[in-house]
Amino acid sequence: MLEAINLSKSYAGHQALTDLNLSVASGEVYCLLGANGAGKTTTINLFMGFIAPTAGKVLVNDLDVNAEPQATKKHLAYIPENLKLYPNLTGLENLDFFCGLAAKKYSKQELEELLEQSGLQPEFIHSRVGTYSKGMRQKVGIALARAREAKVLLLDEPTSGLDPQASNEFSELLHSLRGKGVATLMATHDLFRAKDTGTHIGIMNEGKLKHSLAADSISLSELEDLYLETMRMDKTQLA
Amino acid sequence: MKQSKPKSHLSRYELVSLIRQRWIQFLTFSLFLLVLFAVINGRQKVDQRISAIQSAQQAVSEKDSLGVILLDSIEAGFSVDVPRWYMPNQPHVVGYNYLRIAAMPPDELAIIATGQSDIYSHYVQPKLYGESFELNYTELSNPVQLMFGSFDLSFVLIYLLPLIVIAFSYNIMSEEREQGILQVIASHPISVYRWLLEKSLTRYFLLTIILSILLLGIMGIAGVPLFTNFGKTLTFILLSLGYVLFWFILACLVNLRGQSSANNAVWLIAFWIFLVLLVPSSVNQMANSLYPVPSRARLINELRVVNAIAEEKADELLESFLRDHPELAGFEGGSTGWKEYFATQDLIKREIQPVLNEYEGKLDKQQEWVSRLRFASPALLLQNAFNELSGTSTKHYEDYRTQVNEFSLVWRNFFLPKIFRGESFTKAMMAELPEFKYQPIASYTLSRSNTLVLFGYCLTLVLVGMFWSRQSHARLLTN
Repeated sequence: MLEAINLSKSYAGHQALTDLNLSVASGEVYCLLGANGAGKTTTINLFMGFIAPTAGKVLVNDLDVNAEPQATKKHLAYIPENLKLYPNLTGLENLDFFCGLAAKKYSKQELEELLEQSGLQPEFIHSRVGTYSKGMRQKVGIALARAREAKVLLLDEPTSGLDPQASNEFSELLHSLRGKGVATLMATHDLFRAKDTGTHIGIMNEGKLKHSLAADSISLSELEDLYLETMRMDKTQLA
Repeated sequence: MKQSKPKSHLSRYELVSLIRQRWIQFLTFSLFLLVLFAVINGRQKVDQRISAIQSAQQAVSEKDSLGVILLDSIEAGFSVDVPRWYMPNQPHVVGYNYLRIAAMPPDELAIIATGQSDIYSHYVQPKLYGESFELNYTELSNPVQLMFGSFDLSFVLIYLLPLIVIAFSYNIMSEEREQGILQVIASHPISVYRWLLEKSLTRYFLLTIILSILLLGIMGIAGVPLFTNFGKTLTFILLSLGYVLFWFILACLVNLRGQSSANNAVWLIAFWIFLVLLVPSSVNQMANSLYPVPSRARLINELRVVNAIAEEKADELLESFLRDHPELAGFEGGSTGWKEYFATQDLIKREIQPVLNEYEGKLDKQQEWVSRLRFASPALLLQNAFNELSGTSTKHYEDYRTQVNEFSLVWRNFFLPKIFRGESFTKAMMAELPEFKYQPIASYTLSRSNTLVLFGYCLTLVLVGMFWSRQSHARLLTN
């Protein structure tokens, strides 16, 4: 479903991503771990087609993202770290608006159900998004991902800043989507969430994928050690 | 769940979102106040102009009635208690005192632009003798300087409307980018440029509706005959909407640069200063520098010198004048003094003509320069067109002056034979006095061509935007 082949990206002399190879199949959740500037967001942006690669290829459902940007986006849903919506529209209106952009048309009742199923309290469905907390906006994002019925989900630190309950609800969503065969690529700092929801885990540093392993092949403490060791090793090399 | 076209909801929600924002309500109210004030201001000026012409005509009617009564008494052999120099049975008295009004009534759309109407007379009363008519009539201040002066509709539309359009659109794309919404939009199967186009069109459509309703509504309430010449009204509306479109497209182009909203606002204000203030004032200054107008003092001095010489040579001039006008020669009697006077007037007119020609030639050149350089800025295009549509352009006043000059000659030629033949003026002749009828310029081709040029500018900007959009995709989404 998702595939990066020898993918590299540089900005004005700075190598943001080097020779990345990874694939995420249907029903898999691939969690990218790494510090700030490790290349996680660049990877997501390349899959989204927001930026063009310096070298290599990005495939979504076997379609080249750069050659067929609109066609690949039909299969994609995207939730950024801090989902922003139109503050003057209600949650329901925002959902309807973005569904419209994806050529999806739902009745008002269906939209309300989607929002409720995503954890948004019914009394806020018709309130303007300007009054929403970050967690409530993320829930609209989840509803949108569900409404899109996308085969691929790209998440850029989606649980950052969420309270534990909201994060937990988010994990449940990922489990349910995984069951529906959705391929998910998630950039995160949260080792626990990666271990809990991921089928595969990648550790990135300085634009390179240092480790890629199955989530069930490693315990949480081993993952933490491996992560810290990777970060430390690179610092030592730099020194 | 149904499938629908991606764009179906965009315009509706853009409108809903816009209408719920306070700043748009404030801008609409501001625009309403500006248009209202400009229309009231324009209406007052037009009413004053109409009122002045009507008062003058009323005074002429009253004087005519009195003249008829006096002539009736004189012809019936009664003695009248009127000084000799007011006796209407003398042609030169009628030619000097019982004048006609040569008026230029305001055009139906005169409230749009004050144009040259602040500096030119709207009615004159050509006299048989006295101060040179051309001097009275010729405006000696520079009309180019007064091109952009009054708080009228053209001022609101040319100067202030772009600022409102800028406030409407400076962040048309950057707002979403700064808020992070643009990335969410771009994650959907819709082109960012198509989204921007639809969003811009929706905003443009909303502003168009607001502006059209305000303009037509307030002008209609103010009693402007919008449908008398609907082509003119339509051209006025098209020019206004074309100008709004120009600034909208410019705002979209600036947004495509992918910079912050504040940066966009600064760039757009810089464009406004350049196109609306700097270019027109530069064109004006260049016109002044290239074609400086001679001073009024010089004109008056030359007139005095010529006058003095002419009076000294009055007898000699009369002979020369009668040689030039044999139809007036061979009559005995009449007032010899008047004959000499008209002979000297001819000389004065001939002598002063080169100075007047030089002055008017310079003014013509200035106007020609401004007209030629109107393509340098959409503001100049609009001002030019609005003056034409309002009937307040220099061309209109020059045409009026030509018509008045012709009438002045007709007026003089009506009386001269009577003076030279020593005839009395009779009551029956009152009805034969020449009347002035202003023939307005009906065409407004300049406005129509300016409208086309303005839309041509818009098309050019669109093409630039299409070319530019190919290069700016990444910059927009990741900055």
